[in-house]
Amino acid sequence: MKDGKIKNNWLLTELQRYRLNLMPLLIFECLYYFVGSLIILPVTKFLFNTLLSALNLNFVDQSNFFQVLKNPIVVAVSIVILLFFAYYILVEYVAIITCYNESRNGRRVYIWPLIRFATKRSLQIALPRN
Amino acid sequence: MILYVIIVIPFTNFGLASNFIQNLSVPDFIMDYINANPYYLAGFWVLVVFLILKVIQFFFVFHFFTLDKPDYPEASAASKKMIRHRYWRTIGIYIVVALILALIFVVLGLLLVLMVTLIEKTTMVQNLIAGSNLKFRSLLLLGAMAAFLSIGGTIVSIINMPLILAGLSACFYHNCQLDQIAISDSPLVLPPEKPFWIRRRQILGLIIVLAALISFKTISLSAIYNADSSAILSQGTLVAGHRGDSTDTPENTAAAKSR
Repeated sequence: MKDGKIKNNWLLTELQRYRLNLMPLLIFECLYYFVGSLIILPVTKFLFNTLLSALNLNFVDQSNFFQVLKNPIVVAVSIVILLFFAYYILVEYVAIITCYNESRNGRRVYIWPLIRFATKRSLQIALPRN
Repeated sequence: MILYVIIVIPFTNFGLASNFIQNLSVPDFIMDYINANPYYLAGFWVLVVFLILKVIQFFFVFHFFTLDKPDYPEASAASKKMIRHRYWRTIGIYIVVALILALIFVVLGLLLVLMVTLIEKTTMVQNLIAGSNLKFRSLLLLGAMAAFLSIGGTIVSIINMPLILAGLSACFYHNCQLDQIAISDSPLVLPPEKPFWIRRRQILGLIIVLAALISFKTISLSAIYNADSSAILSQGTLVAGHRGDSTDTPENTAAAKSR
């Protein structure tokens, strides 16, 4: 009877297991949000705006959109920025899933090893197949 | 994978987007261009539906990528295979988790607004509309509500995606059991020899990071409230000009200025 009940409530049972590493996950998310929205985004925006100003492209709208897209420097810098953003976003997914996986197996996670693992695993995004 | 992570997920806005880039929208001038032509518009909506279906098919791609196959084509094929027979059930679980979360956040927000409205019996709103001076108590309440909403907004944007991903992770492990897919249970993250982050320090760390976030938010809110002085302090005097009606005449000409 009890086993049957647990099987029927698999969603809740699984979710309850994830509570083990809630604190490191919250700290990671706060750090991630802090670095992402207060350091990476403003710095990238500033660099991109400076680049556009240096190329005499002070604004982007319908009239000059394709002109901006045709500029090789803008395209190269945009690709680098997109790659970096994708890497940074992947770090978050990997860290959260790792946290849940370790909680599921009853192991405690520490914040710095978690960040190290996530940053290392996310580097796989640079593989040509990815 | 790069396009999937950075464009498809934020664009379809399934609540799975990173709190770094929460949603992505097409710029207005591109949407105007698409809206002007019915064929482009139809093509755009076909693309949106296609992307939504793709996101659902690849719900478990990050799980396979992290736990089993660090290769995107293999991980996406595995995710597609896993979801094939459980398409609607997975969508159902996603919707239930997302709706419960949305309901909790909306109810908390409404309770806060209701509390302030009941305390002040709407006089504060009337005074605000009339532009008259507010009482000290009203100002205090308004400030507290703004602070709670700011803190609440930050917390919601931090925890929303991990909670939705928790629902999907539960689904993933359940499906692994049903399909008898073996996911290695060896530790992914090895504990440090001398654990620095004991529980008390973790709580302290969380409080420090949250406090830093809230102070930055408060500073940015004050900067928005007093935009002119903060712009002068940070950048010097701002010199701005209008280029005139650049649609019908060449911009920055006398003709453009006169229209």
